[in-house]
Amino acid sequence: MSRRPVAPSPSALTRAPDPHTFLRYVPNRAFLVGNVVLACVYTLVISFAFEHGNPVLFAALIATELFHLVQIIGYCWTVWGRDARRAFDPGFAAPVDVFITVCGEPVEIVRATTQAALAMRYPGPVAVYLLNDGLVAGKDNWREIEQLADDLDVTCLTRVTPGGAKAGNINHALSRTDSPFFVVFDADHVPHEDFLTEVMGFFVAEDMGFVQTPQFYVNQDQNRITRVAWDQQTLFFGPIMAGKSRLDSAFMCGTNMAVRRSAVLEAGGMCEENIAEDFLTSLFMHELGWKSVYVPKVLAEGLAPDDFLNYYKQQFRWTRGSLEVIFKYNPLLRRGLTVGQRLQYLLSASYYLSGSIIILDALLPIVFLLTGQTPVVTSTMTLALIFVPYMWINLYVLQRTSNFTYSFQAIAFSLSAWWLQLTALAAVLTNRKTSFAVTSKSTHDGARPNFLRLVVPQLVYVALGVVALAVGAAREGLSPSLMANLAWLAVHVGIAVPFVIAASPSRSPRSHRSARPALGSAPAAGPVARSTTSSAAPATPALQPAND
Amino acid sequence: MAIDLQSRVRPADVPTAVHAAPTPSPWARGIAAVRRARRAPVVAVHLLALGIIVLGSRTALLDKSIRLDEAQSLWQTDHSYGYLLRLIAEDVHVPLYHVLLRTWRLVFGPDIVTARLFSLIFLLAAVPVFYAVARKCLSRPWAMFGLVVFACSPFLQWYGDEARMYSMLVFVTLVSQYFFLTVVTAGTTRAWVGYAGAALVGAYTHYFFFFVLASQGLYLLGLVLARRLPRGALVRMVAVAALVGVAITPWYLYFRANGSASGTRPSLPSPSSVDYSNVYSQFLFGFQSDAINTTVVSTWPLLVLAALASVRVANRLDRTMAYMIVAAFVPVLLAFVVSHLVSPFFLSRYMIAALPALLIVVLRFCSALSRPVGRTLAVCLLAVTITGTVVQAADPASPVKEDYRAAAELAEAARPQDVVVISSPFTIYPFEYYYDGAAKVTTLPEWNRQEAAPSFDPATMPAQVQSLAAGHQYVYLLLSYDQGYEDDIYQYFASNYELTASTSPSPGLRMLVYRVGYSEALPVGD
Repeated sequence: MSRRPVAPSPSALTRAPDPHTFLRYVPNRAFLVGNVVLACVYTLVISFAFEHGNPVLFAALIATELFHLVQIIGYCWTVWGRDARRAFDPGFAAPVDVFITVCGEPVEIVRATTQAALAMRYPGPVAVYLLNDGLVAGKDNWREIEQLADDLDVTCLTRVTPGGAKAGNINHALSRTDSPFFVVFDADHVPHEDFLTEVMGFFVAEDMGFVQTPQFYVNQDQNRITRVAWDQQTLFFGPIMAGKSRLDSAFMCGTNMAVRRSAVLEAGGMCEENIAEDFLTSLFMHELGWKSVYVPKVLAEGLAPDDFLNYYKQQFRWTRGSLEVIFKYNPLLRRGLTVGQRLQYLLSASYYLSGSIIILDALLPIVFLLTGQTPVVTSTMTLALIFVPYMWINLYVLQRTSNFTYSFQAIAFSLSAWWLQLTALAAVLTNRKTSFAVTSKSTHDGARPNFLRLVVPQLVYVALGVVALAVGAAREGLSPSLMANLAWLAVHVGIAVPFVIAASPSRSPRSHRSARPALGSAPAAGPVARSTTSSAAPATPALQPAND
Repeated sequence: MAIDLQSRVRPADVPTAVHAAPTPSPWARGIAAVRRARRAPVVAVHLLALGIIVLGSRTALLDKSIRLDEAQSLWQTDHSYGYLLRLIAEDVHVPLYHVLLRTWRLVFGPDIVTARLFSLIFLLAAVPVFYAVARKCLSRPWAMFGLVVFACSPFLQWYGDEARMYSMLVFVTLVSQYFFLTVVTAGTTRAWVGYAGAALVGAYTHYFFFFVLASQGLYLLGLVLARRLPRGALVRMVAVAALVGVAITPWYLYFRANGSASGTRPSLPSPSSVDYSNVYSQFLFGFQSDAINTTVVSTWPLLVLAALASVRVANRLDRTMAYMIVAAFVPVLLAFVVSHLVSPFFLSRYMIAALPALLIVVLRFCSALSRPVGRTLAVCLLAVTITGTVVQAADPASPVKEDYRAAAELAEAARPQDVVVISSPFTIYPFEYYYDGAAKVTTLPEWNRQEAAPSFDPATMPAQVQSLAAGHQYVYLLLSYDQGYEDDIYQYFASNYELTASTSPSPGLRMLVYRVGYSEALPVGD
């Protein structure tokens, strides 16, 4: 045999990271413990070891640090371990209804999903339904969806009475179907052949209420927005949902899920009173003692929001729905939930309060620059010695628990969404209605539209920072305190940069990078063909309260 | 039937068992030779790095005034080997550097420039070793770039031209790190032997090297506990530790028998957070004035942005890089803790062993960013490094400079009827190296230099001063290296005598001229 060394193959040199890495997280408890210990030490030191400055600022600082501490402890507790053994019957063959929710998506997208649903393997009876909300939502193609159903020999349930959005659509279907179990796919989430065989067996447990699987974005590499959206998903559908499943707190995520009909009906059907209907319905089902499980395997592939507006709307919807859970359905006060479930629901929902916390942190350097007031009085280096290790290990734990699938841009987008979260909080507290629309899944030609209007608050912050810096410099020159606060200002501005860039317009590139091919088992109809129809002109951001 | 959900999770990538490299065939050796020929750019960068170090040394540093520690090195190595060992045992260092320096001086000359060249050789020898270590963590282009930054480092340039053991410590630490990285990745017997040898040499180079060894031990223990390395590796590490322990025991006993340096330990305060941050500030930016240094370290929140930017998809911390992070921070942290718990000895030059690792960590961070951002940061790092070196060399207010040569030249204005008084007493060595004046030189407190340096007694100081001043016209008072009583001396002179001249040849050095006698009439016009 020749001993000539062989040059590595180009595929080996250019192999992209495995996109399923996020599912293979193995807990390293030493790091989790270290993270919690450092966080506690930091919080104690900042609270008691330094001379207090301005009392209002100090109270604000402590509030933010306590919030961070709770989030860190909650996160480490969640990802402490993965779900273990669950009863599973591979021969489970109870009848299943497959619901594909449609509301104006392009016909070709719906066709691919439907064909894939028809191709799913399962030993029992399967009935596929298109839940067509196009008519009540005023979409032009609702008749084409009906035609599609005829073409593919599936049942189309077109609603004629509006109300409840997607939840109402599903409830309408439940009233017209009768299988003991149903699965739900969004119009763009194409299931694998083995979805049902991998999922339905868990219902051998009589108390299993629903089974959730990951939302995988097949267009994750299409542009910055899809990349960020996917990076954010890896953390949630990786360690977080696996951990929630261990604590019997995995909740429905709206698609790629299988549900026991009797369980959801006992909970009053899919909740139509909240934007995050899946989240709240899960809470009701858990209250009644139903169990849930998260299956860490990609069994369906969908599309990420591909422009800033759609991403922004999606985040707003999730924020609004989750905050409503806190203020209207406080998990801590719900009977029937275990302690773990109460805390888990609260943790998930309270994450969206972080906008308030982030803006408080971001305003501290500006307040100092304008007024000279600080929350604590200490040597800047003493604070650094405590804060820097805490921050680095915190971020390393985040990376490690996501199996190195998380990204700076994902963090930056999360931290930069403070205005969105504040707006949603205000809407919840004032009980104002906000409109929400189905996330557009059509693609652009690579150019970025102008959504700078959505990042005006971030730009205002930058401008305010510049003014504050001038005031501070005039007051005390290049003092160490000014330099430190200038650096903090730079940190907050640096975090906002990816967010602002994503909202800013750009020309289409000379060559496009093609969307990655669908991964995993391909539907019988062949590789998924995504619509490349350019969308209509971007709609006005749905930020203003909508009249009922 | 139950299903294990964890079976759906493929185990995290576990490093495969390491195997010793097979003996290369003639064909493979030929290929290797061809590859060596392609290393011309690497050779060129090496030569560039060596040239930068030599240029920096010749341009600004080799001819600088002798410093206190250098004067001590010369004085100690002026004695026989036996007496030298006793002097070192009474001091706070280990003897290898001094023994080698004495040999070097006997062969090549006794002057300070020759002694500094000895340190320069170690810095030059560290260049290829740094590259070898960097290549274990960085790609070739980044390792080559790192070599240039290493060569331009103001901190290394300074101690590469000082007649002390710090550049030797850098060299030995790099050798140790090279073998240690080989140990934790390949585990070959040859690597273990090299590692043990470097550990023995390092233990006799500087006491701080024990913190380097401790960090390596802790890291390896962590790998074994995490089952990333077999238990046999821990056994071998314990064997190396035992070997170092056996090797250092004779010296330790000799050190204890000679007083455990109780009379020669520097009087240092417990380190603060500022001292800790100054170590890394000086590593990266060199010795700068307080104003520059304070401004630089105050921007520490940017490290938070760096932490956020380091979160990148598939940017795993591999074994070598994880060790580099440990090597950059843990030894300094250990020294910081020990300085608080046992005895303060926290000086940035002692921590120099952590500097190469810090550079590699910073470069790895830059290399993990997107190409334009990473390259921009890298260029900024190089620019800041070069600027720091230039400013350090050119700025007379650089805090580390000690211009005893200028002080001696000023003192040569003293006449036989004057007296030169040096405080703190041990600073007489660097002063005397240059002084060629007519006046008598003494110290305050008075010191016969046969015994340990005297302690200060405020009650007896007035009598000592009056004794020194008696019979003289002017006192040339040189104050430096405040041991806690400098202000007492200054205030006494200021309250009792007329100040006729003052100057500060370098930061921390003050030359004050007091008139103490009036028996001599001044010429008309003076």
